[in-house]
Parts: sequence; C-alpha cells; structure tokens
Amino acid sequence: MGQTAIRLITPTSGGLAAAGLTKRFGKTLAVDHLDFDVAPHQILALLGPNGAGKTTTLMCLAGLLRPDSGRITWQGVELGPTRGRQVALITETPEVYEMLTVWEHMVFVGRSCLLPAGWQDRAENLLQRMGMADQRDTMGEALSKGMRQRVLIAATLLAATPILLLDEPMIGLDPRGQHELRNLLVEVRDQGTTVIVSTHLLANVQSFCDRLLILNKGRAVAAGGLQELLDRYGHDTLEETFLEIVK
Amino acid sequence: MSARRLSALIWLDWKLFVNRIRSIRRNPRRLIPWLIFLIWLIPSFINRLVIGSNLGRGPALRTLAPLVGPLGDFVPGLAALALGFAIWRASDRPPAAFQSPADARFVIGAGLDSRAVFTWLSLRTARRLIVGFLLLLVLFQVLYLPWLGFNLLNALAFTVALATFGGIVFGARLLAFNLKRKVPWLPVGGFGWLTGIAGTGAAMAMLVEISGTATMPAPIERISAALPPGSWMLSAFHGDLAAELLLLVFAVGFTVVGIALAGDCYPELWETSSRVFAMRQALRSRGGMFGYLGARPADSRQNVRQGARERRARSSSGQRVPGGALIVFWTEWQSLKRGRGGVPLQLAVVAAAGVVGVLVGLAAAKGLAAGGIIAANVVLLLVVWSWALSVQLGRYLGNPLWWLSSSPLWSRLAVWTLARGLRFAVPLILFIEVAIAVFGRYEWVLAVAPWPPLLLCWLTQAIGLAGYAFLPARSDYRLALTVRMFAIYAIFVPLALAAIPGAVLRSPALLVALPTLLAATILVGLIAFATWRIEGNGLAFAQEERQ
Repeated sequence: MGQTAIRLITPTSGGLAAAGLTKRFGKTLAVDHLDFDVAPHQILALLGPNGAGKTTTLMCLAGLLRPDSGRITWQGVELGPTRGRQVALITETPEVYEMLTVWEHMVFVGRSCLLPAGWQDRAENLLQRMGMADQRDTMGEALSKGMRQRVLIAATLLAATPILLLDEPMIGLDPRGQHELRNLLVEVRDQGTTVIVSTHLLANVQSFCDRLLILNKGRAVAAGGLQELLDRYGHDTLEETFLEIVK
Repeated sequence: MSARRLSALIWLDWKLFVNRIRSIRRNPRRLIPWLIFLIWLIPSFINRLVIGSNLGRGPALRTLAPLVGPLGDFVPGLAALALGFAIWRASDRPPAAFQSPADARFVIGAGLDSRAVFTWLSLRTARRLIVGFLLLLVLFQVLYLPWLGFNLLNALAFTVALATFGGIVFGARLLAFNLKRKVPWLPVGGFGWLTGIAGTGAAMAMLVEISGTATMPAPIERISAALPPGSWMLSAFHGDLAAELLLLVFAVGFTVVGIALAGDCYPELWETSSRVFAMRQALRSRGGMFGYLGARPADSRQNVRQGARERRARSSSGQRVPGGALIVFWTEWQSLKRGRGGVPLQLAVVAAAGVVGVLVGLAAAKGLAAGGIIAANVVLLLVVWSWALSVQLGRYLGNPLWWLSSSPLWSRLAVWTLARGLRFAVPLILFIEVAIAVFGRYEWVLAVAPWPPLLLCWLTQAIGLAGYAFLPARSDYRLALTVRMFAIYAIFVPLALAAIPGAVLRSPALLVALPTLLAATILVGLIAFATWRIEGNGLAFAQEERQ
C-alpha cells in the first residue's frame, strides 16, 4: 500500500471535522492537508510513528497552534478564538496549577466559564466519580500524573466541553492507571463527548477506540475501524498492520 | 468584556499567592535557601555601604562621576532604540505573559475573551514592574545614588520614570502585535525599524558630539535631545511631574488601545509563552545560561516547533581523538561546537575579552582609575557566570558508556572540570594578557599571568562538582547554588591568607606561588572528594538528579 493521503471527511459531519489542515514549521511540513472527522460518542485513536504530526494536529485542533491552511469545524461551524469552550487538550505532561488545590481547579473552571448555579454540586460529584474526593484539598504540586489527568478530565467535564483531546495519555501510567483511564474515556464517550487520543501503545488502542487514524509524515495514510483495517491489510494484529502502513 | 470573567482571573492570582504563603507556612524548610541567601546578603550589603561611603571620598568615584554625567545625553536615543526594537519584535510576536503551562492551558481552555486575558496579563505586568522597580529603588538609594550625590526623591523620580518607560514598552508591544493582527497590511514592524534607526542616529550624534569628533548641526542636536520618550524620561529624572505624567499617560494609553484591539491571538500567545517555558526549563535543568546556549531540546517535536536547525552534524573521523580520560575534552568540545552559537559565539566572547583588555590597558596606561573598575567588573562577571553554571553529570553517570572507560574516575572528572573551566579561562586569560601588554609595564608577568586565572576557573568548576557530589540536583537555582557560593567564599579565605606572606615580604613570586599551590591542593582535594562520593554509585546520582 502506498503512502497516498486519503480523504476521510464526510460532508454531513455533525462532530469534529478537519479539512485540508496544514501546518508548517519553517521548511518542515508537520501536517499535510489532513482531512478527518469524528462523530460525538466516538473515540478516535491517532496513531503514527514519531514525527508523524499527531501532537501538531492536536495542538491545531485545540487552538494552540494556528494552522497555515484548512478548516476545523464542530457541528458544521468553524471553531474560532473561543474554541476553549468546545475543545480541551490534555497533554502528555498534564499541567495543573501547583499552588491550587484540586477543588480550586474546579472553582476556577466554574467561575471563568461562568457556569450556571449548581456547578458546585456537579463538581463534587465529578470528583467523587473520578475517585478524587479524598484529594479535594490536595495541592496540584502533590498530585501524581494519573491524578493530574483525572483533575483535568473532571474540569473538562465540569465545563461540559464536548471535545476531549489527549496526547499520549498512557505514558508514565502504571497498569492500574492505564486501566482506569481507559474506563474513564469509555464513560466520557458514552456521555456524548468526542474523544481523540494520540498514542504509541497499539495494544491499548484495541480495547477502547472506535476508529483509528494513522498518520505518517503529516498525512493520513489509513483510517477506519480496527477490524476494517485488519481485513483490508490481511494481518491478524494491529501491530503488523501498522508497520505495513507506515513502512 | 465580562467583568465576571476578569474577576475569575484576578481570583486565580490571589489564590495562587495565598496558597504559596500557606505552603511556606506548612513547610518552612522552603525558606532555608532564602535564609542562607539573606545571611550572605546582609553582611555584604553592610560591607558595600562601608566601601561605598569610603569610595564617595575616594579617587575612584571622582574618576567615575564625570563618566556618568554625560550618559544622560544618550537616554533619548537609547530609549527610542529599545522602543523601536520592541515594536519590531512585537509586530509578529505578542509579549510572553503566561507564567506557567497550566496558566496558558486553563486560561485558553476556559475560552475567555482575549480582551479579558490581555487586561489580566497587563495587570500582572504592572504588578511585576512595580515590585521590580521598588527593589531597584532600594538598590539605587542604598548602594549607588548616595555616592553620586542623589537623594531619595531623585532616586524615586529615577525609578518611577524607568518603571513607566517599562510600561510604555509593554503597552507598545501589545499595541503593535494586536494592530498587526487587526490590520495585516500596516507596516508595524517597519515603524519599529524607523524608531530604532532614529534612536541609533540620536545616540550616535550624541557620541560624536561628546567625544568632540565633530560638531553636529543645531537642528540634529536639538532633535536628538528631544526624542521622546527618552527626553521625557530625562525630565522625569529631574523631578518634572508633567513629564512623568506624560510617560504614564502613554503607558496606559498604549496598553488600553492594545487591549481594545485584541482579537484571535491565543496560538501566538501560547507559542511565545511556551518558548519562554522551554528556555526557563533549560536554564534550570541544563546549567545556567551557557548550558542553555549549548542545549538542544530533547524532544524532536519541540525542536521542530521552535524552528531549530536540523540536528545533523558531520561526524568526526576519529583519527585525532585523544584517548583515555582526555576523551572527555573531545566530547565537551563537540558539545560546545554543536551547541547554540557554536564556535562563532566563543570566538565573539574571546574577541570581546580582547577589546575590553585593550581598553583597560589603555586606561591603566593613562592612569585612569576607571580602567581598574572595568577590569574588576569583567573578572567579577566571569566569576559570577561560573557560579551560575550548575553541574549536571547525570547524562554521563547514567550512561553505561561512561563506566566502560578504562581511565580512573578521578582523571575523567579532572579533565571534565578543566574542559568546562577553559570556557571561562580562555577569554579571561586573553583579557589579562592584552591588558598587561597594552599597559606596557610588568611584561614579565605575561608568562605567569595565565596560570592563576586558569586555576581559578578550574577550581570554580571543581567546587561545582564537589557541590554536585554533595547535593545532586536538576535545578540549580536555589540550594545548590547557595552551597556553591558559600564554598567559593570559604575557599577564597585561605587563598587570601596564603597571599599575605608574599604581600608582607613584598615578593611578587611568593604572592603568586603560595596561593597557586594552595589552590592546586584544594582542587585535588575537591576532585578526590567528588570521586569518593560518586565512585560505585553513579547511577544513583543520575537518578537523584532526575528527581
């Protein structure tokens, strides 16, 4: 199979869609006319070797990098400068305020997003569900990576952000942490959130992602469900399929 | 703009401040490095005051005072140059104002209106300027201005004028960036260039005038002296309230208009801020400014994002590579060569040292005390720089290749400290040699002069190594730096004592030989200490450093 870019956008998309997304850093073409879409209630796995453009794509979607060209839409409407209300990005090193407690992170989200009255109860419930109720008064500096991720996910859910992006979320988590995160993402997905996860851990992908998008040198080179890809390339495992696609 | 959203941001700053205080109260050990620092600072403060009051009557100041006076004439030109540069830079890059990645992520993630965010960032900048310049006021008033015959009011006028100029620069950057985003065809960068050129011209005109090289036509002289905002600053320095008010009006005006023009700019704001985070991280983890200059981002994506050069270099053939412990020289040389700035940067430093050496030599030959002051400050600068160099051996100690070497650890550590010391020693030695040669006396010193600075630089690095062996740490800003500074002070005491016999007996040979011998002994002792601590325990050190 060649390395031709493939078009994955569906014109009637109701979810998150990127069309012709391109980003250069000097002479390096990090993302090259990328087209894809993800529906609500879906988890999309963004796969690819190092330097494939996964992180750049996520940064563009989150509005932290300005694409050189292309459109990013949510429910058919182009995302603008206030896209923070729609998109939340949790990076490989989840950043929290070291000098704010877990609860104060929720307060900040509640106040800055001007959430309607009653958000405090929702925040309490979210922390409970994330298993963070005991850590309510723990400062950010004392939280492990897994806990930081949970705080950020809780904050995202509190802000009711419909799109959640995670960059290499499994790196640095122990098996229990990975298991918990997988369950959490499935739960978030079931509640209607659109989730995009970039990862290198192929074994993890199989257990919770609905669709896969494989990037290589900034271009989309394969996309579809897991079984669909296995059938298309005639392999038994995702690893073999992946290696053939990106070779 | 929503006042409620802005209030959330102000609440955030307040909470961060309160929690920091609480955290210190819960764990007062966080203050220990600061206490140690204060214990060091207070005596040197008093010492400085004593020296200062003596200097006020001494010949050095009488030489310096006439030099300081004409500097005021350069203010209009230099201020315009700084402003022009800031406007040019800001035309495609906003001021980096987020303090942490969490700051950027949460604030951008909250989808706040960019005007609210810029207002908040401006308030932060104002707070930083006020606090910074209050400290400057103390410093000026206590340490410097009394020498030059200034009183508290002069010092206040001086610092307030500087602070408001800082506000003008910030406001102008904000305005330039947002204006460019709003009206892309507007040549904002070009305007910055013009301002900078006007400033440079004014400064050059003043230089020509003051040096007596030529007489400037009256209109040029008038324009050079009246160039705002520097001319307002000069008036404000002299206590002109109207000029101070004018500066303030422009600082606030630029900022307010800049905020009003703010639009979709989060990606640029994030990009500039993340560059600052990366630099700050590199400064903390890779050993000071020189470490940063030599550092390369470990993450290839970050590398691409920052537009760094391609990470390729011609491999060495391996034919002229020294063997044994000396190979550490080679690895350090490769790092230096391939680091940011590379050999041209080092050559520029060496050339600058040579030029300063000529100036000092000439000044000394003419009997000007200013030469001595410049020389002392150059040496001090180098020593302070070498203090700021943190030691991180983790990349060696955590590397199995390091432990495959057949050379004993002490020899590799000795070579490593020498290689690092040479970065400072080479320009320092050149500076001293040139200064002596130009001075035209004591030529016999030329042969001896290189050795004490070389030993001094080597010793400083060995102190850093011993400090690391005592307290391996990734961040060197606080405790490790303080420990090293103390160690340097402690070691200089016996060195000074060793110089006494030579001074008493008026024997230059003894004056150099005894301290040199003692320094060499201490150097050997420090390397032996570090070897004893690290030998057989290297991976633990690398691990400790990472944590």
